[in-house]
Amino acid sequence: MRIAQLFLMVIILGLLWFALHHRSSTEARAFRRIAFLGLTLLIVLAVLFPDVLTEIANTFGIGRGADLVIYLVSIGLLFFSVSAYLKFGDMDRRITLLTRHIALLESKGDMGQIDPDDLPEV
Amino acid sequence: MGMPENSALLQENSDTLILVPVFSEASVIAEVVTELGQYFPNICCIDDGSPDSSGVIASQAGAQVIWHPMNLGQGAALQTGIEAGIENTEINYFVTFDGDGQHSPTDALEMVRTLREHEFDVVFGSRFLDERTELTLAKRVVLRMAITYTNWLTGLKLTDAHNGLRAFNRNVAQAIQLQHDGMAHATEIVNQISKGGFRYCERPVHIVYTYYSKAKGQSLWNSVNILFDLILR
Repeated sequence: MRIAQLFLMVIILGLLWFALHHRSSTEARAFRRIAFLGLTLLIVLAVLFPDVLTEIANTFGIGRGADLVIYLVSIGLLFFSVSAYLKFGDMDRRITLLTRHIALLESKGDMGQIDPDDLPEV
Repeated sequence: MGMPENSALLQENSDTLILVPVFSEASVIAEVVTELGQYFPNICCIDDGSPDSSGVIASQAGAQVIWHPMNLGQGAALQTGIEAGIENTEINYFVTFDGDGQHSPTDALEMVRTLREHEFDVVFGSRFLDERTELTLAKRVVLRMAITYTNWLTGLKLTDAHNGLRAFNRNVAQAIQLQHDGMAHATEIVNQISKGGFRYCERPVHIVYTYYSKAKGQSLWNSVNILFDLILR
């Protein structure tokens, strides 16, 4: 394994760790936006200057520029999936707390008794 | 019902709250509540947003019903029930009991007695302590793996991880804070009991796998989801 490949692996794992631990912080949001812009820029450059990209790829021990783009997009996708999974988890948590709170209030009659006529037919 | 020994039982268990999470159990819930009602006066069904009329039927059968406005999962339903029970200061003991009729009220009775008569905070039901419960090989293997994982995670020594029948006292109820809405809460409860340093034991219980409870029960595939939920959070 080339040093450059090792370097790339460290970046992937570092990003995953970051996604797991700083999901709602200001830095994380800023980081996501920078990553989004960076990736867009990279794709534009890759289209305009394929040779330069291949040179960069070679310094990382990767054959073609297109391969480098595939790897970076894969990292981006993985990163996005984990962030989205965790974000949905947080959202579920909040919905749960809200729903349970309403259920308890209702059971105490704080929101008015349940009207038997409103209940579904048995 | 109406037998003198039962009225004594009802009196004895007036400090006990049975928590029954209910989701689409319309065909069996009346029987479950009625049978429990012969031994326990306080039955709380948490209707977890059932699309059918399970909650209404449970209410007509004599249970107190708390309604989740939408479906959240069994863990969330139990947490709602526990919080409602804590607010009632007369309740000293809590029992979690599945709504699909697979548990036996007399097992629940024995478990509450164990709490009263011995120095335990929690009694877990286990289907592996005697030979009464019949299991398929696949289910047996998955449950063994689940309990090995749970024991490794929590440091407790239990024989049955995902049994919905448990009894615990008020101290434990106040310590439990379930974050997993779905079925991963079984491991979560064990974990929180371990962290709280509570005294626990197991009692053999009989799980009746009817055609209904089998059709409704946990698919073995769901164990993959449960494991994933527990690890990635």
